[in-house]
Order: sequence, then structure tokens, then C-alpha cells
Amino acid sequence: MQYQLEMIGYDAILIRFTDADNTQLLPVIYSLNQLLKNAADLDAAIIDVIPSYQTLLVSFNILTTEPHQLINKIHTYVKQTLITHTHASHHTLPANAELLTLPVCYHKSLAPALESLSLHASLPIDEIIRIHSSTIYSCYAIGFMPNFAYLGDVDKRIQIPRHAKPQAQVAGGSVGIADNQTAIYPKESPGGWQIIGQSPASLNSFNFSVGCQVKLNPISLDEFNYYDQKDGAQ
Amino acid sequence: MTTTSAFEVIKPGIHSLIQDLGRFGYQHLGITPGGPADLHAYLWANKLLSNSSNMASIEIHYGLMSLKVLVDSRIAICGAEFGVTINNKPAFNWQTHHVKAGDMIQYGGAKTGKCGYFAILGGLQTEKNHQSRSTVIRDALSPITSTPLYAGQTLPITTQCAKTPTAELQMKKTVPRHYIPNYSTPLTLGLLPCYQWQLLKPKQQQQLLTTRYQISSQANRMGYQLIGKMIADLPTKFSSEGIALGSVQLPANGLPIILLQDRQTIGGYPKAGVISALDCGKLSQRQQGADVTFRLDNPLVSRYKMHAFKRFFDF
Repeated sequence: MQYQLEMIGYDAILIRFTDADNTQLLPVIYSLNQLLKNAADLDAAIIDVIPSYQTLLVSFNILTTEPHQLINKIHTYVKQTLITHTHASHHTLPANAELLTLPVCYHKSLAPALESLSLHASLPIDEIIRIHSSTIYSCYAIGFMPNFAYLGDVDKRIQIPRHAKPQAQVAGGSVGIADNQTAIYPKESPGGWQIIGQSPASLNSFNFSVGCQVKLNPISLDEFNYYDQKDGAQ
Repeated sequence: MTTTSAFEVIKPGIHSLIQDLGRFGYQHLGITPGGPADLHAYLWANKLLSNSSNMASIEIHYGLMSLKVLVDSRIAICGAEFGVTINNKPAFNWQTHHVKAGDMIQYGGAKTGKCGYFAILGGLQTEKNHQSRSTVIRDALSPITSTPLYAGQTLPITTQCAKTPTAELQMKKTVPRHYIPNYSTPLTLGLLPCYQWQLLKPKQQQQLLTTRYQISSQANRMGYQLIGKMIADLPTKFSSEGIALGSVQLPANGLPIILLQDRQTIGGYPKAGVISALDCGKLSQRQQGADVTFRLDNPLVSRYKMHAFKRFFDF
């Protein structure tokens, strides 16, 4: 697996993997992220690590850290991670990754794009729900807003591009699809994803992290309303 | 530590936010750092009061804020020129002032610059979220850290800072003249090429470095969109990656956006490079329509400058 390190300005280093697909990279990015966060010799140096699909952006404190020394340390950690993963088979999910289960109600009153997806995919709605909720998703990245987790991969049969024009208001908890990714809007927001359901769980009680696994558990509208009243307390 | 209400917000102004240095170590959760739009003015306000650099003050955009003083204390005013008055008497910018219970502090509109800082001895003691008091509206982490100032709000300070000042404390402290910037001069931003710079064609690189841009109406704490000749045929379709402060993003429409304190943490548009935190501050003091150009800068020199700056302000 190839990678490169690049200085971003004067106080950040971008680790970029250049020749592997996102699924292969996820366990590598996950492990490297853990390693960098927990490394005692980097504790005073690192301010933030932002993992994403093919990169980790490491910002550091220029008062305590010489960039070339940090670059050398990062090289060591990347190589160490790659050696561990060389023998692992492809698509191996991080062994110690957390599995989160989220209830999702796919009732049409909460799922404005479910019918158009059914037409787009030429599949009955029940089948779309079954497919969407039977995949165990991995979190590839977090961004757009706090706790907005980019989950993949969505089954090819139910992929659909995002709206050409974002909707002004998407309800908090909404579950959307955009091509091969699915996500839950942590709070009300403008957004362009195709909404096919809604989770009643207060996402404040869920902490997504890159590499975590997510299972969606379909619930009825009655259950949704019950949860909603309890504000997602489970 | 007990707190006391030090000010009552009579008029919140157009857009006034509480800021400390920002929220660090949470960008992997999608939480943006926030923090002062203009570090230079923010840090001077704290330094004048001998506050530590992370103490929370008010960042005032466009002005028109008025506060009623509830306890005797000491404040500092820095940044954009708002023609501040205390009890209708001019209170000069870039210096400290002693205030007494019952005083009225009033901000006019911005005469030069865009945002100012109102710091208080010991810092504001509003509730923290994720270890910071900085207001980031779009992150909605908690009510107090996602709401601009509002009329009727009271702002707490530590009780020990609310006291009748000694003779020594009554001495005014002023920022030396040569540290006071002119926010009206044309701005040239130092571009530190990185990210997708090498993937741009020489002609596109040249265009970015030679175009005279203007600040658009889309200019806020998240980012500044520039207007000028559009850069054509930009590469698209990159995987989202972490966005550093000052990233010069080139979206499909070919008009650069400089991403600032309240930026998204990841994004997939190509980026020509970054500008330094100090240049971000200068940019944040420029109003809509102001001229902006880029020149290539040296990361090593920028690091030395930032190093010296951090040493000077001790953060």
C-alpha cells in the first residue's frame, strides 16, 4: 500500500494513501487514527487528527514540535500500521470496532424519497427497506456537521444520487441515501440526501467514530412515536 | 469558583459572539474549532488585561451592541473601530477602560474593519461545551455556545474579578501604535501551496496568483467567497479530506472560498493551498467589496512568524 506525507501550510501534515480503495483503507485508517491518538510520544504535539476516506489530517502545535521530527514519527507509525494490515484479508473490518444499533422508522410519512427510490430502483418499498436495513455499515468519515457519519456501502440496487438542489429543511434523525453512502442527520438542517426514513434516537447518545459499525433496526410508526416521546431513551 | 453577573446585554448588536481560542481535539467528530476570527485583536484585548490567552471575550461583528455594567471592573477594547462610548463619552480603541456599576457601554457601526473584541478582566465565565466557550452557531452543541448575544442576557465573570480596582489597576494600558493594524489597506494573502495545487494546470495556478479578487457578500466566520475572473476547467471528484484553517477551496464555479474558523471539518472540493492564521485574521477584518490578491508564500517563513506571534502572546 502506497502513501505520502505532505505539509499543509506550516502546522499540519496530511497522510494520503494513494493506491487502495476506500473499503481496503478503512481498517488501516482506523488503526492509524487510534495509534496516533494514543501514542504517548505524540501527545504534546498533536492537536487534532481528522480521519477521512483516504487521508488523515494531523494538526500540531508548532511551539512544541519540529515538523521534520513529527514527519519521521508519523512515517514510523504508518509503516507499523501497514505491516499489521499486510496479512489481513481485504474487507476486514476493524476487529475492535464498536457496533451501534439504531432504530429507524421507514414509514412513508417520515420518508419523502422512498417512493421515488422505489421507482428509480424498480423495487417494491418493502424490498428497499429490507435491503437498506440488512447491511452492516461502516463509518468512513464524519463531517458536514457534528456527528454526521458517512456510512457505507449502500447496496448497489438501492443507490440513488442526491437531490440536484438541496432541500431547505431536513428533519433531525432523517436517514438519507446519496449514491453509495447513507447517513443520519443529527439535527434539522438543509440537506440534499434522499430521505427514506427517520431515527427517533437522540443522536447525542450515539458517538460515531471512523471505523465504527452501524446496524439499522426497522421499527413501526407506533414504536417511533413511543421512542420520540421518550426522546430516544433506550 | 463563584461568578457574578458583570454585564446586561441591552442591545446585542448585529452579530456578537462569545469567543475563546476555540474548541480543539474534536474535529474527528465533525466539531469545528471556532475561535476568534482575528487572533491579533482578540489576543491584544486579553494581553492588555494580563488575562491568559484563552479567556473568553465578545467578538462584535458590525457593531451596534450596548451593555449595561453591573459591577465595577476593567475591560479592553480592540479590533475594528466602532466609536465605542462609555456613558456617551468616547472610549478609545486598543486600550483598557475602568467601568463602574451602572455605566452604559455603546458600540456604533464599524468605521474601519469588521469585528472587534470586548474583553474583561478574568474573562467571561459562560458555560463551556467540549472544553470551550466559543460560539459556533451551526454546530448547535449547547444553547449557550450556539446562540449570539441576546437582549436581557447577563454575562458572568468570576467574583474575585468584580472588585473596586486598586490605583494600579486604574492605570490605562494601550496597545503600542506600531502594533495597531490598518484594516483599510489592500490585502495580499500569502498562499502556501499544498493539497491539490500540483493538480492545477500552470495557467490555473497563474490565474489564482494574478487575479484581483473582491470579497463577496458570502463572507462570514465559515468562509470568505471571493469574486473575480473564474478559474475554468477545475478538477473535480475528490474524496473528502480534512480541511485546515485558511484552506483556499476552488469549487466548480471557479471562485475561491477561503475557509475560516467555523469551516466544515472535511470536504471534497480541490484546494490550492492554505493561508496562515494571521492572514485569516486580516481577511476577517475586510468588508464586502475589499480587494484581495494572492502571492506565493514560504511555509518556513510563515512558521517562524507564527512561532514568534505565539511566543509574544503566550498561547
